[in-house]
Amino acid sequence: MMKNEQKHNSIGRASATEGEPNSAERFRFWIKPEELVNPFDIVAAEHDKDSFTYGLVTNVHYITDAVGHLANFISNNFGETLDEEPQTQRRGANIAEASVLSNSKDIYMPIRNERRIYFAAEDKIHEALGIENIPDERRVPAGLIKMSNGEQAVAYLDRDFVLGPEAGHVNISGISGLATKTSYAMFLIQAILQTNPNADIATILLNVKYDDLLHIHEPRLPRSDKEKKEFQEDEKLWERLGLKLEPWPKDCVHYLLPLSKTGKPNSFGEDLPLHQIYAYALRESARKLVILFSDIPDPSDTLSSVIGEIISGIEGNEKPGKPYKPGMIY
Amino acid sequence: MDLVTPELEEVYNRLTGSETTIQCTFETSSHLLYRAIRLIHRSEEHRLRYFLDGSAKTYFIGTVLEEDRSTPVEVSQVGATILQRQNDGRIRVTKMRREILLTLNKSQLSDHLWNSLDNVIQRLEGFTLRDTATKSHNGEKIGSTDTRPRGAHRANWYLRNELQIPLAHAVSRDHKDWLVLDGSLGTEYETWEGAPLLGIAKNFRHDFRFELGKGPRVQQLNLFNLLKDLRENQRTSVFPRDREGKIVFWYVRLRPNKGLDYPLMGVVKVEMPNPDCNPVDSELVDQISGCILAEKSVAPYGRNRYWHAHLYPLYLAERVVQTQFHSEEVLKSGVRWPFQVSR
Repeated sequence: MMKNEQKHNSIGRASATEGEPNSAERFRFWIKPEELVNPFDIVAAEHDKDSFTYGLVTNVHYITDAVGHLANFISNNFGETLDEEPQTQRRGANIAEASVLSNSKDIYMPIRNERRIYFAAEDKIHEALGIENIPDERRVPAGLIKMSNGEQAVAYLDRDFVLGPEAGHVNISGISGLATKTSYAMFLIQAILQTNPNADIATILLNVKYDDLLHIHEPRLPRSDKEKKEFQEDEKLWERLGLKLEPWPKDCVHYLLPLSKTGKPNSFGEDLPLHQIYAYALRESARKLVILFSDIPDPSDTLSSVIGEIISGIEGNEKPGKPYKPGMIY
Repeated sequence: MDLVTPELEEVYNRLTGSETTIQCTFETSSHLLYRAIRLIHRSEEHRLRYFLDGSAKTYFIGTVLEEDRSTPVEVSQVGATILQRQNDGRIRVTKMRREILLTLNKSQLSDHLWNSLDNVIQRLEGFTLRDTATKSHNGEKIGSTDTRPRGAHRANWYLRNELQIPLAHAVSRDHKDWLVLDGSLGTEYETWEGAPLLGIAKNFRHDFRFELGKGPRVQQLNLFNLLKDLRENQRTSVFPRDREGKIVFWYVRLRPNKGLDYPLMGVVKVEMPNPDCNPVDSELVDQISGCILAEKSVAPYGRNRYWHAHLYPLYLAERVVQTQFHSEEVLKSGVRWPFQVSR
């Protein structure tokens, strides 16, 4: 059973109604008036057999007993009272919606009405996300979960699912143009490299936007007090993750820049790092032409015949034909 | 059909023993029939802090047969609560009582059966047994001969007299913190000596006649005449409810006539104990009326048919009580009648 002091930390109670019942995958709860809960907070709900169901808050609604907007209009003296506060605050409550993440005893019955809800502590968040099952040596810090109550929890990925053999990819989604996805990818690679210093890992980065990734070996230099403060805060966050906020080792970073027509690198930026230039000659690239059409179905080998002809032509293996002469039959 | 039959609140209001013809005003400054009042917000003066209301829900569950006599058996859920409004306008429950009342006509049962029932009920916490045949309830005064409504009247009587009045006494209040009750005040408040209180009736008797003034200038009004000229942000003069003025009353218009369906809409009747029976201070009545005027925001529009004259904290008090009641299904499933199958 819950200890008394834990009960006092509850932030609300589960609420299941006729119109909005709780289900195996979602539940709702009302929030204590002074409590602050935001989307993406992870909460723990009391459940049967002394277990907890963990849920990710996806939305928070504020409801009142006003039947409609007209009720609020009429309450303000038919729209004429704008300056004064209402004499009595209309009754309202914040209702949060949460998606079920897991249950500590694999019980997936819906959360019952009136069950207490808590903010999940770090160990409970790890339990909710299945992190506790990842062996320490395979844990790659993937970020810090910060909750509305100030609780923090490090989120870990399983190295075997990022680098193999179980799986080998990470999906990062977000808004375009803010460099957040790129930044996160850079952070994650740093986390992988720092937590596996002796592993045989090589990273290939393709820079596609200006000179964004041509300075990864350089330390971050704050240019103002504000930036300095931000840097110090970031440093603490990295420390919390068990990582160091430092540039990529200079001797391990190799920049390969494409050749331009002028013989210089075809790259943005004036202050380019130490680099090597690369280029593809047409003859050497000819055999890669097939890659361009690799996803196009070609059941009768028409396309491959054409590609073969082109490659032969580029590589100079094509036999010269007879010159055209008018009046001849070919 | 809404206004065809009078509401129970209006009927009870008639039973308070008041005169139907009012022949004088009863305040220190009595020259004006209508007085302009200024809205007093709680941020300026938070006088009305406590709100008391209750609710009774009665179910007929069967008939007891004993030899050739019978009595209906009714179960009532009865509850009352006092809410306190805090300085920021939020409401919290201060005290609450809830009981289940079993009502039967004692005269139709043998003493043995009644006593046995009483012994069982007394051992159950939160349950009370009452006789519907007692004369101390409104069913008797209304002259209801039908036996079944008497249980409901008995429950309402129990609510007002045995739950609400003890609750009103139970909350210790400063003399500047007023208590507001829903509905008109019963005669039991005529000798009220506790911290100040008011009764606010949203639904009141309409058969008053006012004969104000003397000699050839006497002004005769019925209630409709009186209230049709009562404007927003005005109150009427104070009138004595009985000959001595143990309880005084006046009307306050909370909402303008515009947008409302009926001239009496948006008007509340305010009743106040006046145990010393002296004309009441007009300034005090103005201040109280100003505080009541502020109660028009917010309104329980759409939640109660009398939203235009209902004070939101009183509406909340009623809701608090009603949400604590067991559902009808729970109550019915709790009633088990043992029976023996004949062989």
